[in-house]
Amino acid sequence: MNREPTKPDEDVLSAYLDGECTAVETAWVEEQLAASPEMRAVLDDVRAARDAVRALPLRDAPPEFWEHLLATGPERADGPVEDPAGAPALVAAGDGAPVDLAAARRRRRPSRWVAAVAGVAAALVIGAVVFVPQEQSVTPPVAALTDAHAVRSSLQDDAVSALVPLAVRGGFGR
Amino acid sequence: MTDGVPTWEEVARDHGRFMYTVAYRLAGNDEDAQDVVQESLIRVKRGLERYQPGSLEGWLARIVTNVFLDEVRRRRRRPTDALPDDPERVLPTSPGADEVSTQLSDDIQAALAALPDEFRVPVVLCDVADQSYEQIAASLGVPVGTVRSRLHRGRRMLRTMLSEGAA
Amino acid sequence: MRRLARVGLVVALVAVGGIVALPGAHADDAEAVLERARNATVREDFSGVVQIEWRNDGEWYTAKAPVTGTGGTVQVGEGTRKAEGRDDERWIAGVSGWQAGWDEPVRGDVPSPSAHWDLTLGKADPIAGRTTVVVTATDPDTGIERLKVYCDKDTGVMLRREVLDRNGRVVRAVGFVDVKKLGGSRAAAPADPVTKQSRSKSGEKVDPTPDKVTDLPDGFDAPAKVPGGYVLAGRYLRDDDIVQLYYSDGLFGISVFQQAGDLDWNGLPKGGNGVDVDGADGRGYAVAGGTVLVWDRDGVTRTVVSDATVADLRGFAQAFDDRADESPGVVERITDFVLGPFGWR
Repeated sequence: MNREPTKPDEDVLSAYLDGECTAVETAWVEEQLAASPEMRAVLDDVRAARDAVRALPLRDAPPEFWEHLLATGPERADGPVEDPAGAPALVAAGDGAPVDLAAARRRRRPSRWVAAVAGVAAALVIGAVVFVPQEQSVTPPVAALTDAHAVRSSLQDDAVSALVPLAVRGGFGR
Repeated sequence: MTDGVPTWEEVARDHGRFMYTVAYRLAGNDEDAQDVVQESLIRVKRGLERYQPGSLEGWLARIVTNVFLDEVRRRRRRPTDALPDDPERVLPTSPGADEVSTQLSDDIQAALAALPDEFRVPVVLCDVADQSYEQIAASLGVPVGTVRSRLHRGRRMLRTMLSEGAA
Repeated sequence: MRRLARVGLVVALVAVGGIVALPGAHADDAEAVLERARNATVREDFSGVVQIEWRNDGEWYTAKAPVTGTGGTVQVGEGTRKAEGRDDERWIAGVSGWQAGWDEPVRGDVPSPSAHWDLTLGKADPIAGRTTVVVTATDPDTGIERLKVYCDKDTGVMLRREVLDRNGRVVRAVGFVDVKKLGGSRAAAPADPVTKQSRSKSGEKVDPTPDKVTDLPDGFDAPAKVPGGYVLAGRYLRDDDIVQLYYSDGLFGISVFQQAGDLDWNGLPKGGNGVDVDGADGRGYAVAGGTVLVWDRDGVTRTVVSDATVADLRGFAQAFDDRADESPGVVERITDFVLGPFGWR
């Protein structure tokens, strides 16, 4: 059965942005973009969404999550706290097997009296932290600091050249 | 580390933040993200013997994704659990970021969390975990063409949500 | 973002090749041109396209943005990626709308550029169809040109700024590639500019300007001067407890951000290069927003941002660290006490 060659559909625009197009598709996209304002608008939309997600900062768990995990191992991080049988509870199933993470979380949550004891302990620790200098690690919000510099710089130097970095892609986030 | 294969502790220390970021963007809240990372590290620990030195973050992203999808499937069987896109649970603040960046991140995260799983997962794997279409297809067990289509539709939905939010 | 090595170099070579010293011009004239250029864009109406180019790891990158100046308001960019400036206010747009970036007068002065640089004034080839003059800043110690500022001869508007490295090669440039209406009639300033509210997620109004401070938390330093001609022009405490110091040598502005704690290397953006900062490990980046250097020492993490080169920032960082080790003298303390309440220092 003869079929007319089909045009690549709009999905190809995301692939074009990601460098995942074939040479034929790339040529088609560039031809369409040159001729069609609608296509350019779609490309701009997709690019904006892509840039927005890529601009999201790294995220990390609270330090105590990692400390606990590294101290006890991932299997035991839940702890046998509330296992009625007294046996260590293994959360993991085999590779790819469904697991019940909610159950793991319930086990990780301490009971109320444990929470009360933990609260007192935490207060003591906080007190210690206040009076005893502690080393801590920090992550500079580099993208935000770059923006803050551009803003401050624009107030005493040429505003256009100082503000341009806030308006273009080519940094850590914006 | 022996023969280029890290220990699970080294993975946790050196790539924990990467795993957590992927897990958080997939799950939409810290509590679920912690669960996903913990379970992922169990699988990492067990799978390291078979790990062939190569793209470690690609391998880790695949494990995190599989754990997340397992959880999604489990919750679909037990719909009484809170879903990851519960709006009360998807607006965290990023400590350390300034107000401009934080609010921007919140809006984007909220929009991302509101995407249906089938669109959010490829978007996160591509734009957060930096995976190729081929890697994403392998992780999800779908053809590359499906990845391309879902990714594009996901981004368009995201753009619409962000525009409406900004209006 | 695309590589445009040839374009960048061609533009740079054309600009460099077209410079002719103005007969009879001297440093005072050059300084007057720079001073005029500082706020010329708020005195003129114009529209056009500005291009920023920067070199990173031997490759050129470029990005463009439309720009307008209307009745004293400058706007750069479009859509969800734009910034606006009017008087002492700065606004940044994103997908969630406008956010305030600054809303208070800045009082600290920047030093005279001729205090540290040899300045010359010359003629140069037209830029975007406009006749230009160029101010060249040369390092008096090495005789190497480090900055060129091209200004519109009629209006004084800065049309291009080129940063050169210690070998005299252009490594960063920002300037108009198209400009219209410049020198024509002006629109009246809007009688009642549109107010852009800045609010937190919970709806509370947000004060966008960091607090000017006189006393810094223990462990933080703010030397009044840093070798190399840099003078402290402002110090601020942000909501996230990061201290921002703004230094200027009259040509380059440098922000030093300080926060308590050792640097968490895993949290840094991808990319960049390892940089030694006087024995401390650091990481340097060259991005559209400038050159960034991050390092930590003695429990304080510092992030320095400028459009100067990485090598210059490294020199600044070392001098800053050395200078910061010194205890503030009596004169500095008195100066702090007297000028502090005015937010001057």
